[in-house]
Order: sequence, then structure tokens, then C-alpha cells
Amino acid sequence: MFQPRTDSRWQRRSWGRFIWRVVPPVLAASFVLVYPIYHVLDAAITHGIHQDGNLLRVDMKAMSNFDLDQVSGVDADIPLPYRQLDGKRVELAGQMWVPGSAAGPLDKFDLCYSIANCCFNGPPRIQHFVKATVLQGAKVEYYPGVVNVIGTLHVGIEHGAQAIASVYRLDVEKVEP
Amino acid sequence: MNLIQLVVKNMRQRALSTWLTLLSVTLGVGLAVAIIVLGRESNALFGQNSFGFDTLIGKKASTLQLTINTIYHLDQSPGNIPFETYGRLLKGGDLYKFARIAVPTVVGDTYQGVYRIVGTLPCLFGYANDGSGKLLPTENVLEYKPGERYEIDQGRVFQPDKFEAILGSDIPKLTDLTLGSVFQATHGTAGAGQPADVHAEKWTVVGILKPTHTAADKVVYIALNSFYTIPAHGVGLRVQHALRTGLGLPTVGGADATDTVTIDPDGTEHHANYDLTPDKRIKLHPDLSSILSLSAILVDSRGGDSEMNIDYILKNDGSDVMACNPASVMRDFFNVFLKPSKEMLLLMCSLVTIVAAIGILVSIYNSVSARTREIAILRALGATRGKIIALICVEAALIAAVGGVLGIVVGHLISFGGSEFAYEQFGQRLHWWQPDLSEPAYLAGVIVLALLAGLVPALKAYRTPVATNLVAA
Repeated sequence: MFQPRTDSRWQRRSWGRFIWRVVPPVLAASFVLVYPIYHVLDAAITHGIHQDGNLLRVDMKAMSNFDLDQVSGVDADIPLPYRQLDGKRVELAGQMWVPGSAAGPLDKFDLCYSIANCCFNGPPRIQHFVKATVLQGAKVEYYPGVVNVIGTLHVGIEHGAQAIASVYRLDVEKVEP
Repeated sequence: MNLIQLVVKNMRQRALSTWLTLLSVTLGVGLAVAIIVLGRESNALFGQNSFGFDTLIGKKASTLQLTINTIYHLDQSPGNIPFETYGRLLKGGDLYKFARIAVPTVVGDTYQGVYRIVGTLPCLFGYANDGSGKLLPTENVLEYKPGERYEIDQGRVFQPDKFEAILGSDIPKLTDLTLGSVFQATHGTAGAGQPADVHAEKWTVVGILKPTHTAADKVVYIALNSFYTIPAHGVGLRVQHALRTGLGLPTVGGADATDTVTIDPDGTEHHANYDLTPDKRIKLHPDLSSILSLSAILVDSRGGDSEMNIDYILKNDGSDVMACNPASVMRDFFNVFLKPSKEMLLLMCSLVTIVAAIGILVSIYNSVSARTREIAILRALGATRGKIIALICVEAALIAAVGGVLGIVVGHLISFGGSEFAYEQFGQRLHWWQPDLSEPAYLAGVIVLALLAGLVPALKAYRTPVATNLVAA
């Protein structure tokens, strides 16, 4: 007849096996819980701005996520960490939006963290768009999807005839898919 | 005798084989160059490279159909939108703060079943809509391309309430219409074998536009109000209104409605849809004026995120109207449809070029096989093995170079044919003569490929035993 083993050595071994079996799911669950918390904390502490060599990598979603009166907003409405980016060399990751050109190289374009998220789910806001101008004489190719853009950022409200025309402007040095 | 002279003599000796190989290289390169040039130009043709306005408003349907119909004057209109949408873009309207310029258009008729007739307002051509003939400030005039506006070359702008028309610059060349001509509109485009449905109303040509090198050059523009005077259009508007308001299909009347005219002693004409004053001004009947519809509205937004806001509001306000950005629609069209097919064609042309290179290999290989004695004699006379290899490789490179240059010429000639076809279809010619930057690179690639192909027979020649071949002879 088969008898289950009851010696303590066996119990120790099976307990050890049990421990190893639960480690991966526990780690996975921890990652799922901790990663968003890490992101929230990171965004709260760094405001999505990270130093990377001689330039600042800025999270476009973080920098456009604030309330702004689309007609009469003023510079003070822009959160201080982003106002302090004025004149800084930055790297932004986002999608190119080119309302005036269907083909050929570009000398200007808009950059947005996600066209679908910013402008289809909720109403578009001017702070979602970085008005990018390629340095004089140069042109860049259009790339669908997310691109990395390096350049000098200018921050400040520019008013148009009926509403704010721009909050962020970028002198583009390089665009990479 | 130097190397080149020797190569030329060899080629002459087997002229037929050389010509056929040259022809295959020429055709391969020609096709590839034509695809490169036409691919580049097709983007420019459809995209106009750039637009002077950023928003198109039309019926909620395919954005591509709306763009192609409104800007390229191809395909059918996706449908009509209420005239009130135009009012929303003007001062006092909820979309005014986003729209800088708005120009309504309406389509549905043609001249002779071929050339599109577009009903619009004088502001499209830079004139005030009140019929005063005053020029608008340039910053308030719609640009069809950045910095380029429709301009009248001969004559004047039409009166907004008269049966008057302006012609695109190509229309006088393609038809019998010119300044002062009187014409009638044809409903839609008659199918093969079908009689044309010609409307009774008559328009007088009062102006001709300067060339724009766009599809607009083949369009006849008429006053917006005059478009609604046509009895069948009035019936259509009333039926659409009845359907929109839940009244259902009317039981009487149809598209073949005929006009009924009564004339007052003072000369005023009373038609089914309008009255015509003695000085020939159109006054639409009030019941029709309140239910007018449009095919599309061209809008230049105020910049910033205005274009996106117009799009967002129209998409979500429950109306049957939408906005789109024509540039992004066309860019998507290029990326989804044109780019893969262009890449596939380029791949096929590269295969044709490789086949041509194999043709060079076979041709020269056969020639080397037949010339083993000559090669042996050359070697006996002092030609080194290196010189023999050079002789064969230069021959292959020469065929590729001559064939490649001829191919480039042929490619541009094929593009010329494409340009004429595009002109017939879209009213725009291509820059078929402009070389592409990739052409020299492609030519260099073909020559390198031919050199590699020439190496095989060259190595055979290199290994030719001198004594054996001289003795065998």
C-alpha cells in the first residue's frame, strides 16, 4: 500500500518547492502594483523631467497635463517645472501632426504625446501641442508613430486672434523614428 | 590597340547579342527610373505637397472621399450637409472662434458630362460676397496652396445672385467656352449610352482664372445661389428636408421636375424655385432658402489647436457633419495605399535589372566560350591574365553603363507619358524631366552588378590554357 511520507525532511523539501513556485507570481503581482505607484511617484517628484547627458528628457503627457483657460490663460498657469524648461535643450517623444502638408520634407510640424488620446477622447487643448519649427534651412522627414525630437524648448503663452496660439514651441535639431 | 578599342571590337563582332543585352538593361533601368519618378510625383500630384487651408467640412462619411471629391474633383460627393453649418463658422456662430476663413461649395453638375461645375461664393476668388466687386484683404482670402490664391486672369468675378460663371484656366483650351459664352449644365455624369440630362438654366462666362496647376484648372465655377435654381435641385432639397424632419418620402414630384414660369408685366420671372428680377438677379423662394444644403466647406482655422477643435466638436455634437484635415488624410492614403505598391513595383524592377545582369553574364560567357582561341592568342602576344579579366569586366560594365544611361532617358520618357495621363485625369502635369537623387545611385548599382556578373566569364577567360587552345586551333 502506498503511504504518504511524513518525515520532516520531506516536509522541508516540499515547503521549499512551494516557496519557489509562488515566487514568480508574487513578483509579477508586485510589479503590477508597484510599477504604477513608481510612475506616479516619479511623475510627482520629477514632473516627468529627467536629465540625460546634456539634455533633458521630458514626458510630453506630464508637461501638457494641467488646466489652462484656452482663451485668457497666462504664463503663471503653466506649472513652474515646465516654465523653467524655457530655453533648455530637451528630448521629447510624441507623434507628428502636420495639418498643412501631405507629402515631402517638413520645415514645421506639431508634436503631441498621442493624437488619439489627446484629441479624440477629450477635447484638444493647446498645451497638448508643441509647435515645432526645424532650424532655418533644414527639413525633416515625416514619420508615422512615435518619434524622438531633440531641440530647444520655448515656454510661454502666445495669444492668437481668438484663443491661445501656443504654449510650447521647439526649435528642432533632430527627429528620429 | 587599347583596352576600350578591344572591347568595342568584341562587342561589334557579336552585335546582335550585344544589342539585345543592352536592350534588356535599358528596359530594366527604364522601368525602375519611371517608377521612382512617378512615385515621387504621384505624392506631389495628389498631395499638392501642401495645402493653404487645414480643414474640410462635409457629410459624416469617408474622409478620403470628401477630400478627393472636394479638392481633386474626383469621385462622388459623400452627401450634403445643412447650410446652417456654414453659419456656425461665421461671426456669431459657435465655431467662429476656431475658423478664420470659410468657403462653401456645392457640386453635382458638370459641363458636357466631363468638367465639374462647382457652386461657390465670390470670396473664394478674393471678392466680397455682397456683389459689390470689392477685393477682400489678402489675409482674408483662402489659399489653395501656401501663399497661392485663386486669381482672375480675364474678365471679372461672378455676381453672387446671377447666372454667371468663371472658368478654370484649362477649360477654354479643352472646350468651346470662353469669355461671354453661354452654357447649360449637365446633371452628374451621363453613363455610356445614356442621354445627357441637360438643365434648362443658362450661365454666361464672365471670367477666366489664372492657372493654378491643380485640378481646379478644369473646373467651372458658378454662383452658389444659381445652383439651387435648377428645378431638380429644388426637388432634391425638399425631399432631403422632408426625410431629415421625419416627414418621409413625398408622394408627388421627382427628380425630373420641370420648371413652371410666369412673367409679370414688369418683366419679373417666377420660377419653381426662384424669381428672376428684370435685371436678372436671382431671388430664391423663402421655402427653399431655409432648407439649402452644401457639399463641403473649405476652412482655414485660426491655428493653434483650432482645427482639432472643429473636428472634435463636429464629431461629438450629434450632427451628421464631420471635419477632416486634408493633408493628413492624403498622407495616410499615401502610406497605406501608394507606398506599399510603389515598393512592390520597385522590387519587381530590381528583379528585372538582376535578370538583365544575368543576361549580360550569359551573353559574355557564351562569347568567351567561343573566343577561347582569340584569348589564347592575346595571351601569347603578351596580354596578362589581369588584362584578360579587365577586358571582360569592362565589356560588362560598358553594356551596363550605356544601357543604364539609355534606361534613365527611357524612364523619363515613360514618366512623360504618365504626366500626360495625369493631366488628362487630374488636370495636373508631373515634373517628369526632373532627375531623382536616387538615379545616379541606381545607375552605379547596375554597373557594379554588371561587373560582378562579368566576373564569372572573366574567370573562365582567366583560366583559359594558352597552349591547349593554340594547339587545338
